[in-house]
Amino acid sequence: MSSGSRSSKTKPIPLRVANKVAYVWDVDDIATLRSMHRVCGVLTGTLPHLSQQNVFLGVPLVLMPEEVVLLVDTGVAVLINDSTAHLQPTIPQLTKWSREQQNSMRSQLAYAESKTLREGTQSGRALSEEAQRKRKEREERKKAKAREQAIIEAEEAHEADIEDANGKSSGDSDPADSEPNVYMISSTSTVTPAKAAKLRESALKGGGSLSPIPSTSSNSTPSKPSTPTPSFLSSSSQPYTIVVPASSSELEWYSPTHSSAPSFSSFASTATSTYTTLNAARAADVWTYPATLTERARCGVFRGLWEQGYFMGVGIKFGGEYLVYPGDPLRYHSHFTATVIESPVATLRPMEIVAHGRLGTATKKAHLLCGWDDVKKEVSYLSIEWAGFG
Amino acid sequence: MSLITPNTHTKGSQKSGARKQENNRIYAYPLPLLFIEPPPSKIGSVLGLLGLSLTWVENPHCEGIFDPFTHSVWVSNHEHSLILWRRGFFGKGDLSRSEPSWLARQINIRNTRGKQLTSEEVTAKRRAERRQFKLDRARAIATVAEEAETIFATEGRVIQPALSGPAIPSGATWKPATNPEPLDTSSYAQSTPIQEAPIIEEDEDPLTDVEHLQLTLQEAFFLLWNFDCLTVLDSNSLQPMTLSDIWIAFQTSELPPRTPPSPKPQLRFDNPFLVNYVVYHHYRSLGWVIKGGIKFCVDYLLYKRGPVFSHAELALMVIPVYEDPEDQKASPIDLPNSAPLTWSWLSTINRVNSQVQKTLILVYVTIPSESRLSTEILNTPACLAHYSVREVVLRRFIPARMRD
Repeated sequence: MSSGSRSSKTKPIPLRVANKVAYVWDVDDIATLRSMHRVCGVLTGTLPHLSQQNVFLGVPLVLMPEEVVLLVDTGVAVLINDSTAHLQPTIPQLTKWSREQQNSMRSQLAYAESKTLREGTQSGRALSEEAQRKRKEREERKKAKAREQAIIEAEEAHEADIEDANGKSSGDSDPADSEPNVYMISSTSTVTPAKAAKLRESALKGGGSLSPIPSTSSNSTPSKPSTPTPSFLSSSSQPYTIVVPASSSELEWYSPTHSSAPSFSSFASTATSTYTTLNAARAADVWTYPATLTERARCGVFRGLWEQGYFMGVGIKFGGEYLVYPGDPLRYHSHFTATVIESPVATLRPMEIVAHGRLGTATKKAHLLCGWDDVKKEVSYLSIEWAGFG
Repeated sequence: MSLITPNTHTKGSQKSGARKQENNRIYAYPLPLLFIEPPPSKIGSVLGLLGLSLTWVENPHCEGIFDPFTHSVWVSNHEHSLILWRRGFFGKGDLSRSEPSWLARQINIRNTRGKQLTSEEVTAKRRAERRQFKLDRARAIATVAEEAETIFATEGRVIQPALSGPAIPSGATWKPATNPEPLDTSSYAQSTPIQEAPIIEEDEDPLTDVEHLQLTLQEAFFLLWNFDCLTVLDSNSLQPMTLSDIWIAFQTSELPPRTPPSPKPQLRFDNPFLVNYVVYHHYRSLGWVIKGGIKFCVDYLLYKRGPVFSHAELALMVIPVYEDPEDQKASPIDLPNSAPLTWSWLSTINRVNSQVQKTLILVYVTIPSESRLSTEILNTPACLAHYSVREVVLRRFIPARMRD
């Protein structure tokens, strides 16, 4: 196969395995798999800005197990055990990472601020110095007021807490228990960033629950309410994004060639999370497909069709194992729905022939029965079409 | 669409109304038994006050032969098969798709040369027309493409040959050829069953009805056990069989053949006859007309009044459940759908049935366990009381499309 020779020149595509499911996280790899190797997989990631829909999906790409077996067998891809490829990060690595995060936030906030300023000037509503000064004062006043109120509330809450603690035998009650508290912040009060940050913090201290802010604050406001928070957090109401990289490859402690797992005796010398063959992956219990006759038959049929130049998609929607496309599924409708039959002598009920004939006719597909001979490692094909219909 | 009085297949709106009325008349009775009310009289009203009634039941007493090889009961008497079909839609003609209409089709072909159509002929005609339409369309497209080629060759202009337009017939614009001769009788005589071909040639022979009504074992047992309106004859001796003979024979015919034929068959709770009979009886008792559903890859279809009145709305999939899983392991019978359904099979069936606007119902039949009950009770129909039926309606839910 041409793909085999091509892959020997280029780097094999990493398939990251988690819980025996293989994912592709790199968009370029997804394109390569599709255009060079006729493997499409299924995109399963939600698009962060369009989380309410499931028509358009993004990374990661999930591969059918048959696709994985084919890709590893042909040397196009390698398997990486993703959980062991994440090593324990060192302190310098972590501090570096943390610094980068903070920098990212700062630059985002700076950018956002400059943008609002720019928009302000551009919109022709450039404020006079006087107006700006007045506005600043107004904001200062508001902040001061909010701070005051927060302190008052905190004190009140503190008192309530003490009362609470006196009333009950145990102080660390569940947040829900202290819900009917008369000192709760009314829901209409405006939450300024400073207050929000403080509340968030106190909430975090009070058992890590973020949900009902009022009740947690009443439960466990620290006696010293002015815990220092990073200045940019409290001073700005601008939202910022924390970017979690899709692929772990950029993380310094991610290393596919090492393994964080306690090494087994036989693998002590070669502790790695990368497996180039199915046997190695099976020995390490990272990837065990195909293990049964059914799974072997599916892999055999998949490969048989793939070698004839077809593209395969998941076919359960049309009552089969695969949909068989003559070219890229974006350009063609599928011509066949394929069913895998585990043995050349397996029983086929008349009901199945009726069902497949009817379904195929209605969806303009022929049904393909693919019989796998596990002894000869061969596939025989038989197609069903409904005759006599116009 | 009745066979004996084939509707004049004319255009016009009065057709459906007239047919409906006629069907209401022909298929007025839901069961073979007729309840005859005497004219109102004094005696009748007095008896009515006492809770008695003068209504008498007319039982048609039909006759059929049990054929163990096809697992069916054959009703050859034309009168009887007409009664069983018209009063409750029991059975099917062995040469027809449901109503035994073979003889009517032959007479029709002979006398009228296809002017009055039976339902099979309507289908054949539609298919022939459809095929002709596709040929016409392909020819028209080829002509347009050819014209474009000539224009390119002579004038050098490139024309995109149109795939639709006034020159290309579409499903809406295409009309069957107005000339009646080339299309009709010859073309659908070919597409109707082969048995007809020789008959057409020997025109002089008087037609004899070679078709019989086939009753499934469930239908036959329902008729004879509940209404006593069917007598079943043994296929060898042609002597009437007793109820217990029939009960055992019906069960045995569904069992896998045993190499040394033993005189005493081993009766089992998971006999396919019993499982299907439980379902058949359940729905017939609730007033449904229940017919086989293999054409939609299900076990049964439920019709409200009967196949001539409306399409079936419900499709039944019989799922046997063993009360004791050990019985299943030990059983020589591999009941369909008794193993857990695969998702792809379930979605296939559901898809096929939602395509034809039918609701899929999973009918779970619980098979009593052998450890709890003795198989001795299988010797009489009283054992049916130990089976139970549960139903689950299945519908495909598409969240994205069913939101509004």
